[in-house]
Amino acid sequence: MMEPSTLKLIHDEIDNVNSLADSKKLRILLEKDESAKQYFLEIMALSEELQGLGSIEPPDSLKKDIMFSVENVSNSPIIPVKPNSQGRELTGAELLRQKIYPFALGLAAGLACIMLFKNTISNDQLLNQDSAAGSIVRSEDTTVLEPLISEPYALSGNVRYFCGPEGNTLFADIPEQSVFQVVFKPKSIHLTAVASPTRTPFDISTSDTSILISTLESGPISISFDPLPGVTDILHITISSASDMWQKDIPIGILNNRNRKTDNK
Amino acid sequence: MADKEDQLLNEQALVDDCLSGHTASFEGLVEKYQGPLFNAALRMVHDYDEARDITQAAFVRAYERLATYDSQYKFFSWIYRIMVNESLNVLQRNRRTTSLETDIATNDSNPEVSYYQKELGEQIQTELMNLAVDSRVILVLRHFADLSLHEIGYVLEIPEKTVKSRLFTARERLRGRLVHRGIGRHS
Repeated sequence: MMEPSTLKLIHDEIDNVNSLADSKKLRILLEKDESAKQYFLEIMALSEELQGLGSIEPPDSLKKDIMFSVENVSNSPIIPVKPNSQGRELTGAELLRQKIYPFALGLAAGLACIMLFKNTISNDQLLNQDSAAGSIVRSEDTTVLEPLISEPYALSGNVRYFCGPEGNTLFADIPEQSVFQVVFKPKSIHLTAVASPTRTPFDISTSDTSILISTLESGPISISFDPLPGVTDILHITISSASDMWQKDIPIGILNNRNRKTDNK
Repeated sequence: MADKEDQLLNEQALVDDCLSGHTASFEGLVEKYQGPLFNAALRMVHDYDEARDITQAAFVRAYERLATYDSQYKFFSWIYRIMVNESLNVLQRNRRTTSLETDIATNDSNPEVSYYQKELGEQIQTELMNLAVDSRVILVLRHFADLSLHEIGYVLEIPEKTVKSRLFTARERLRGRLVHRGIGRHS
């Protein structure tokens, strides 16, 4: 069994943090202790093997795709982050706690179909109609947003979620040419804007219990909404296509608190 | 030393340029870091397409949050932090992990050596994937991405002491696995 101080010297040597004196001390020690020397050589070999794993060229189209996405973001009317934002992403542990429940796919899909045929309105109608919680506004009015969640989802696009004093916005890149649905259930929110800078029509269906947004084309979409006053439920967001699904539970109470906190700054 | 300072100043200039509305300046940063980020992501998730998506998402998020970038840290440490978070999200989804089908490029012209290195690399990657995510991430950052302990602390948002202890544990676990399977110089 090796002395902890020897182990420390060996690992520090591998990490290049030993002082000259410590390196010398280790060298002397290794000359005397065969098992320590053997261990040192193994750890050194491990380090070299990991370094030698080799690199591969990233896909040719990667840079182009990144710049395309970046230009889309920069053309967006939303200013996503302010410089001294206190917002933070959910930690890995918090995200880990949020499980995907496969059965909800069937539920969401079924609900989506019912809603789609039951009560379909166009986006223009949405943007022009009045609602109990206030007038529908376009997302350009959202000026300060805090990043709260960013998570790639199984459709190989991204979902980014922001909240701020002007409301909350969910951005989704829709990479597949398929029916794409965003479902808010329960309907504990007031939809303020749905916008897509490059893509064409989507349908919005509402019922007493949920909001469903469907689109037939790929591309970015932003959905702005406010939690309804007094609502403390979990907001259950499901984004699904024919082949896959992303789900996120967001406690509405947290959203309201965060908004108030931002307001007070 | 002067080269490193020039490099940092150049990066800061690119960031400032982007913030003043010149999106095209971001391309310089993408050009420089897409390779290292893609490869580190690949080592973490062991899936070519996922690594590609993670790299793209990391750059887009970095661009969106460029105004929050603190220039007292190196740009690459900052974007590694974003990439690691994206990778952890992907790993947490616990999706399929297919084997890496793309050939790993090696510089060795000797086909026997090259074959041996490729085999060894695959075996090590397999054992790396069998480690807990914490251990895998820290080994990739230290030995593959070659970040210092201080930089790893920043990327993972943990104290340097914790970095050291996690690295120790991770190396021990990987070494144990390699010794057990008689891989490479551990046989």
